[in-house]
Amino acid sequence: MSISRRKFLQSLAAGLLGGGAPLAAATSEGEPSRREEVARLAEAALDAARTAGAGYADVRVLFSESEVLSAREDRIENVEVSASSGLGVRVLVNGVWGFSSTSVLDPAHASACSRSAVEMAKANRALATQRVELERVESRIDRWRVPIEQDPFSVPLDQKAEELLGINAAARAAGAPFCRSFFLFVRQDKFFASSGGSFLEQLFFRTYPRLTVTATDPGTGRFANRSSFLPPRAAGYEYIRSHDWKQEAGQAAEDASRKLKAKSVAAGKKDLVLHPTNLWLTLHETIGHSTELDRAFGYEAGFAGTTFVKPSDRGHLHFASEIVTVMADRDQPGGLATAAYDDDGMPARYARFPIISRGRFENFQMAIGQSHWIGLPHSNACSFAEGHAYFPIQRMPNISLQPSQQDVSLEELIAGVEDGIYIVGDGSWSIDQQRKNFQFGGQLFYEIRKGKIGEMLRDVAYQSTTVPFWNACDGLGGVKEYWLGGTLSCGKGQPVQSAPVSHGAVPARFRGIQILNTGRGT
Amino acid sequence: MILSEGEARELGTKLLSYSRAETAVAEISGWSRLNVRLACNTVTTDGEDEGFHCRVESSFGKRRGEAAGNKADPNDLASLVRRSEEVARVSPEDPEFLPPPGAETYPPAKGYSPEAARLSAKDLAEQGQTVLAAAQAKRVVGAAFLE
Repeated sequence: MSISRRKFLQSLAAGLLGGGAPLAAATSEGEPSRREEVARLAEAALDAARTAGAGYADVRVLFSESEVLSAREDRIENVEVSASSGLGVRVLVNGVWGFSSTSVLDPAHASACSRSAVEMAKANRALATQRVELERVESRIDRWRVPIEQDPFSVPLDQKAEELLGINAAARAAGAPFCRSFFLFVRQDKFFASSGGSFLEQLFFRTYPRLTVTATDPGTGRFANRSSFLPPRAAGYEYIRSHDWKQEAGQAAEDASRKLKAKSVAAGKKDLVLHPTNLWLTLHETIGHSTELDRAFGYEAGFAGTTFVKPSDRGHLHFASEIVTVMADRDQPGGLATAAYDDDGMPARYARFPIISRGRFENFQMAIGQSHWIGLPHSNACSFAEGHAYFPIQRMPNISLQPSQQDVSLEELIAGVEDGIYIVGDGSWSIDQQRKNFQFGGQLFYEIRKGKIGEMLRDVAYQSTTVPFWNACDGLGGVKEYWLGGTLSCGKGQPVQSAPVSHGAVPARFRGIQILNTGRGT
Repeated sequence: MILSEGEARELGTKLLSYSRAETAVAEISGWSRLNVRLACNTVTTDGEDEGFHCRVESSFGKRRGEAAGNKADPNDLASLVRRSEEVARVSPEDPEFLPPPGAETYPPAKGYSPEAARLSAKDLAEQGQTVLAAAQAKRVVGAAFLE
């Protein structure tokens, strides 16, 4: 049911908005006054859009903060803080989208923004050979926040700098001649209001710590890097505090030194065991991107690419072996795409769906206005906009490889390999624009001989095509081996947008995969 | 927002007048963007964005800090400068810190095009029609991004 704007303003004033966690308790700012300010902006924008002729309109207002601290060896290289805010309005006029944004947050600019968006939609009507058809999105008034223990922005900068230098000191004490590290923190207070009556507030936190040590061999001029395996997460400062950095730094220094002396791999077909710190990226590039519906219809042909997966493959394509199930979600703790609503205002429960179920391709990811292309009634909450100045487009929710239902350990997977390679950590990657032919590296490579981990290797990359690769999977780790990786910067769209997304995985075994020697000829 | 040389100078002078640091560097940029995206021989997304970005680096001795924001009003600029100074004060010393160079002279920029600045959504749509017409004439599926 549509809720009148006056009603949601009254609800705001009375403090009756409910359903989510108590946001005000989680933050120190005057959140109620911010909500009232945003409600006034949203009312001005939505009224102006309707008056100008929009059949549908939504407004996003974002308040973002970030902090970056970076260190090299025993010195802090950079400390930068940033804050920005702004408003974006999207309208639909006679089946054509229009979008406009401003960083000036007052009702007059919000109204002007809506009028510009309507003008843009009208101007582009001549280019529309297909009209956008929107499904009905249920209207909600709600608040939600990423659960954290400690707001990273409440920790003094000098304390963070000291912690960062401590990590570098631990790496150097362990023998690393060079090390770089950084902490990145993001807080984003995101509001969404629509002509359908929704008014949503979501507070996001993202924390990303990273250490890279470099070992060198002056005799040969070679060098080797080893970065920490800790991925970015939707988390607070507790994420940094809870990690054993001394152990990580020491191990990284030892690994980098061993990599220098590792033997170069012999190319050829081998069995692979991929640790989740490596597999998350392969999952992202081969399954995450290939199952985006806008790619399947050519909407990303000009930039991010298309996909080998056809709409008619839904329910038919044997994408992977029968042990492989890949799920989408927006509710995984720590997930970078975890939210209560996507950026179309669709509730997160629609984002819990199988992409691959027991090897068979089941579902594409969709934003609003796309589901009717394949005869479905509504989107599955897969929309995201990087900031207030970006048009929301289809983006990944969290997408994760499900564990084996048996209690299978990493060691058991390795025990089943006569001649193979075990890969840990993500490295370089390359994949074609249809998400079919690919090549991935890693950080650490070990040979597997007769079911046991052997010597460390270098110059390793694995090469395959998506469907044969996933059909070559014959072993998965159990739930105890599950690990959540991810990235803050997946690119798509024009103007290009960066999206945060997480991917959970377990160790997995693949049979007969082509191994390349990347050092050949150098 | 596109800033004229005079407006940028005024903002820069204002920013530096708020500074209490030993050195300060301010970077100011503004933009006005208009875009339309085509795929499958139809329009998909479009957008208009008026933006401003300001970054200030302040230093005390060998301690330095940076702050950035997207608001151009005097109160926000003053708080941006203060924030960069707060960051500098709590940052450890950077032994490689070099103070910024003194006043420089620069040749006038030639990248500004009044014709481009005057483009409207309608103008962009006309260009888009040219792209679509060419695709349709050749019976191919066209994709384009005009900005």
